[in-house]
Amino acid sequence: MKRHLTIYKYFVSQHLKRLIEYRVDFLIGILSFVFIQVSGLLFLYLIFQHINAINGWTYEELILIYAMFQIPRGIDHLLTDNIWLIPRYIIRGEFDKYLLKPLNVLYSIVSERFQIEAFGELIVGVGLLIYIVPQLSITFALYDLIVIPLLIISGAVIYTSIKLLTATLAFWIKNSSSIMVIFYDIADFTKQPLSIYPKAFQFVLRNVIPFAFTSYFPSAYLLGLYDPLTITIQALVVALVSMFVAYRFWKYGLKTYESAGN
Amino acid sequence: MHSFFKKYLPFSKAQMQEFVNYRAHAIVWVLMEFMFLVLQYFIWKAIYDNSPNEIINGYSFLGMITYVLLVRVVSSLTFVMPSEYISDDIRSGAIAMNLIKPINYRTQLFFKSLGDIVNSIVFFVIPLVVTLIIVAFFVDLEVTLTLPVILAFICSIIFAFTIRFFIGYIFGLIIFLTINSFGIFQLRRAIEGIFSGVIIPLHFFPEWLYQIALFLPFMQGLYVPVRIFMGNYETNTDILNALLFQLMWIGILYVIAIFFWKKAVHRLVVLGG
Repeated sequence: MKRHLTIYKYFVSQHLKRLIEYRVDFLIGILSFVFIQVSGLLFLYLIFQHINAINGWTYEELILIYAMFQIPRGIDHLLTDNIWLIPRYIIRGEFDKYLLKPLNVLYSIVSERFQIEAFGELIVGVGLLIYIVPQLSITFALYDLIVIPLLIISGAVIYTSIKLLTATLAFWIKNSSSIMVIFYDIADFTKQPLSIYPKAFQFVLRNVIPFAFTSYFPSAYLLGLYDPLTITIQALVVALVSMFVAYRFWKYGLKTYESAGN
Repeated sequence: MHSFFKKYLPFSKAQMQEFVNYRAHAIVWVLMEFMFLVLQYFIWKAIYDNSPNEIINGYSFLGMITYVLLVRVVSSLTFVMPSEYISDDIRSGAIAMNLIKPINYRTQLFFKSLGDIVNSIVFFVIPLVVTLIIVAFFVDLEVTLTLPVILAFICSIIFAFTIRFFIGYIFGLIIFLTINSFGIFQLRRAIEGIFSGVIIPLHFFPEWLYQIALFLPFMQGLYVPVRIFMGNYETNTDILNALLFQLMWIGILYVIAIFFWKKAVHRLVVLGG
């Protein structure tokens, strides 16, 4: 464990050095990020010029969902972004170098990149929360110090699991990156209150591709729609099951890959 | 003229064949487009269900759904990625080979993009148009088509394709100057998303923002043909003006493209070439 952490520290500092080298790129990255966020919020702003609420959710409450949406996504982006490159490593034959390292394969892939751009999402998410929470009648209890972080971490784990699960397909079909994108983008459905979708969709977003736990449920909890114990247990169970399934599948894929003698 | 096509058409054909090789990708892409449509449908449905007025900014619910569908049709009819080709060529070093061949690089990219459009038509536009026609049998989509409108729409699509090609090409050349292409692509996609009319019809914008959109080329590649098709331009003169405005933008972008091309060739750094 200690060895893994030391290695991680080296990787991060290496990555930061690279960033300073490409300062212009970094600025472009920030700029494009700002535009993406602006376009998301602009839509909400323009729509609420014409309506007062969507299925009972006000403008401020939708901003809350939007803010909560950014945070688990940002954490996943920050720590495990390199999973996106697994299909490319496999196609180009670069994957084998990870098999040779005396480290857990998944760990050595994930730790190779520390995606500092993700701070953009985290800053926007936290910033919007600070802006919007005082405008809503949200009261915090002491147990929220545990409940809210747990919900956020569960959300991040769900993102990572779905990314890993779809990336693993690359062991069989080689280029799974577009499938990864399609599944990851399903999260966009949970930027809105779940009640705008038909029941079957809601079921899928809650139980099959459980992105509802990354943004919608934490927001609904903050607004007092769920009781803390139920929501925490549900989120934890969903996150753990997702991770378990994804990791088992990854291990299985890895074994298939190794025994094929690439 | 004949030898011109003989020289460049193979690039279109090669591009088409490449796509056929990635059939799985094509399916995923079509799925994604439909997923996006489904998402848009439910969002707009919820908005109209909650609105006190049946018409928002001149769009009824069916009008808005027609708009969303048309945006997908037009954007896949004009979806080109010259910037991606340029960045691939830079990364692989193929750019050097392409520059010494007796072939105009820009024309080569243009024909490659044409090949992509043929693929879009086969894999996405035809299924979508069939869907649209079937839907039109059951519900009264708010489009009245006349011959001038159809002709103007076809012209407008061709102009929009050219405009989007030049925008992509210019962004591609900017990659010559800064190497991180991913950031540039994202930046472009974000700006284009706002100002082309993909996220919301531009007439929802406050006046000052709409004025900014008018000064940018992005709406010319999407919003203008969609509005022509929906019959939003009242007279034929209005339609003609819209087309001339697109043509003017092609001229402006052409000049900018030549300027950047000269700059880029000077500073060409071939990675791994």
